[in-house]
Amino acid sequence: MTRLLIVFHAAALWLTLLALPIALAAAERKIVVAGAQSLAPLAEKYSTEFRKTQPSVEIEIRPANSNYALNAVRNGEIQIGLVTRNLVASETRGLNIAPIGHDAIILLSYPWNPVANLTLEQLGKIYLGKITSWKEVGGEDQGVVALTREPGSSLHKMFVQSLFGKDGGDREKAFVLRASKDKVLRTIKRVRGSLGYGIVSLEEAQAEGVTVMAVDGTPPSTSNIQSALYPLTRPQLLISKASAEGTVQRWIAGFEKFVRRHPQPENINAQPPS
Amino acid sequence: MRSLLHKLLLSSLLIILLPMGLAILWSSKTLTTVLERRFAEKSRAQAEQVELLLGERKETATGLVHWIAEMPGVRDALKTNDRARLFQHLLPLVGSIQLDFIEILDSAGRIFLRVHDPTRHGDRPKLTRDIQQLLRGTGDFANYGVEEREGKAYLRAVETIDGDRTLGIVSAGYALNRDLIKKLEQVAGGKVFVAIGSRTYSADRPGQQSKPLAPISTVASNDRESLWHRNIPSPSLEIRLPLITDRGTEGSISIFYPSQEMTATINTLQRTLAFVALVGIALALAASWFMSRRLTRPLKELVSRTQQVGAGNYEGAVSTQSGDEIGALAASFNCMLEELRRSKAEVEGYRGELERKVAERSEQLNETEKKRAAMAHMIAHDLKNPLLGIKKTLERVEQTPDEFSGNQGKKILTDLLSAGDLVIGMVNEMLDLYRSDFGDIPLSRSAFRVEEIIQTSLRILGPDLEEKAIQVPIYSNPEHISVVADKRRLSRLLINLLSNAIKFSPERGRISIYAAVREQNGSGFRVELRVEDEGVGIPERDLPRIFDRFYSQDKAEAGTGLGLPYCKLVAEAHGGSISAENRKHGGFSVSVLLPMQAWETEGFHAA
Repeated sequence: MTRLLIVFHAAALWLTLLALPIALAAAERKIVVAGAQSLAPLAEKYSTEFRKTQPSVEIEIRPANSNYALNAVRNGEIQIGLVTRNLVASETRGLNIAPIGHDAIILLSYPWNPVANLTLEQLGKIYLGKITSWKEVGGEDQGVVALTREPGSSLHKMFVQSLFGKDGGDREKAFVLRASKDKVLRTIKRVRGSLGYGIVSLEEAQAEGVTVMAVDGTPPSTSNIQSALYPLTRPQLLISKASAEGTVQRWIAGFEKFVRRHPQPENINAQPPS
Repeated sequence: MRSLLHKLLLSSLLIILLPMGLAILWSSKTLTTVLERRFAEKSRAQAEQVELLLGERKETATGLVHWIAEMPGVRDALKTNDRARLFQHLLPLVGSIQLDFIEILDSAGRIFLRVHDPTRHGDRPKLTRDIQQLLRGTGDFANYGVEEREGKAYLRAVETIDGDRTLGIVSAGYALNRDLIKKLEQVAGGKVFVAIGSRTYSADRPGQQSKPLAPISTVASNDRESLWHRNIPSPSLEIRLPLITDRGTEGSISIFYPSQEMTATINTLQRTLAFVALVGIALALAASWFMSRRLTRPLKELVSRTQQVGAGNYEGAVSTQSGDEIGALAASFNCMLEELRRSKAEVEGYRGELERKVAERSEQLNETEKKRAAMAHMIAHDLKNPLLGIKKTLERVEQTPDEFSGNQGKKILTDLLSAGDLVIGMVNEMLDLYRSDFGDIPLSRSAFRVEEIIQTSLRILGPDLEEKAIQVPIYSNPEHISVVADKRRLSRLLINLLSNAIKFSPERGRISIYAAVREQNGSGFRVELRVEDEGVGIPERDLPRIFDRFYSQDKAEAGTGLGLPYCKLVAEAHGGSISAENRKHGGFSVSVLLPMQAWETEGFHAA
């Protein structure tokens, strides 16, 4: 009886020892990448390439937002986070931050708007409801319909902070446009007097026929965004735990190279300064 | 050239080209019609996409206004006049639904909110009758239709917003602008003109009265129509669809399909047909040339063979093997040739035979001539002997005239006379034979006794008989037989018979002479005169020929050969006959039968 028990325990020990490396390997072989929607398509594209060289590694891309990415990386739910806003020092603690470039919030208004430039001050006044007609900023006699994005998104947060500073969010007076990128463009196009913003490329905006506004006289050209001359730029970051394994680090390194190698049209703003 | 070949070629080409041309003409027309019909069908099918699109849009607008009208937020907003909240509420629709305007009117007919232009409100637009009726609460539910406002046309749906009373109207729809018409053109694949009332809308000048490609009927019609416009610069097909709304037919949509593509297809088709026709003609020409040659070649051969036959060349045959009439002609021509060749060969045969016969004749003639020469020689020889005897005797008389006296002299004289008689007799025989060639010999009949001529003959032949010491017994029954005949010729007959017998008789032989009267049954009496010898006789095979002229049995003994023929001539001249046979116990027997009329017997008369 005792002998039988010993044999049983030995077998169990062996099985555990055998299973351990498999479990470890499995843990290493799945990478979840999640975060800002503007970066997700690019990450997906790179992953297709990455899978070819590392077929054993499973990669999942989960479009969400920057805040989710921060929290999830921190609690180990995901391995790599996609973040598109400036981080404060408290947020970066214990994380590995890899900047891959910048993108910008593009200001858009209704088609054929004669006004093509707004200062940050004018913009602030519009979004505070102090300017209600385009006539006041040199345009036609047409009421301004200010459209903003859903509160809580990193885009909205960044936009409000750019206009009103850190705590100015409450004073905003605008209609909230809950929509995807395409719908945003279409809505701005169809509502006369509209003014909105989004992370879009110049090509997309021009194809839809909406007017792209310059801010403080600086048009959102690629070079202006790259050099952060355009006021409404934001960084693009990859975050991971500082103690991340080799596969994750390889993915991050590979993605940085991939972005440099492939200046995609939809990511034209994301070129890092060379 | 008028040869059969060319005629055949020409006629077969006519036969081919006429139906071919007709067929091509017909098929070209038919194909054009078919293509046009297919083009029209295809165009119509495409045009119907416009109706589908408009129907979809109508559904969307109708559904949307219904949904908005039912929304509690709308009622609240109208009641509390909270325009911003309503806008925020309806804002998501702008980007997600393909609509050009969403408009909410309050119960007074003022614009409460235009979602696509939210800062404009409070205006009082000129309302259409159905909206006015709806506001008054008297309208029906036919709420989709055309609305023209400020020179622009809209397709829109309306719905009342009902609370405890009519709170307002929601209206949503599409501007009949360039975007919409372009969209329609994209779907229909042709140029689109929308006619409403007196205005025509197109993608070129949206919202303005534009000039269509062809006169467009503004009379509302519920029928779909296909119209060909061929007189305008670019011929095209117009598919006209009615613009049907809830209020009835409010206009028409004309879609123009340019027909260049189809025209090009038809042109290609016609070119292809022309090419096919050319190739067909070439093939037909080749085939008909080949066939015509096949037909005319045997005819040509026949013609040339006929010419050759005409020139006398019967060799060879026509080599046509075909089973048709020409083949039959060739076969019968070959038959004719064969027949010609055969009759030519026959003629040649006849000619050969004739030549052979002529040669034979001339051979016979030569032989006869030789015989004649031999006979002449023999006659001379025969005549020479007695004449020499006469001459010798006369010489002896001249030298020794003394001996020529007394009995001796008399004997000599007798010998001379008989020798002379013999010569004369021989000459007479020859004359008779000659005469007999021209007709009967003239007989000089006289009555005489048979023994007379027997004695005369024996006397004449006396020397020869003596020489051979031949006995000549004479048997006569009755003893004296008298005849009326040519005495001289009859004695010559006997002399001939006797001299023959002497010739063939051996030394010391015997020649018997029989004379008798015999009664022949039914033909009266006949006189038989027979001479028999004891010689070798005649070969049996020669018997029938011994009475022919120039037959001579014994060549060595060289006679004239005229003896027996003369006997036959004389016997027949007297109406009698002559026959010869070999005797059973050796020797030869010749008998002459003369009819009774020619004979008189003393004994007979006496009796």
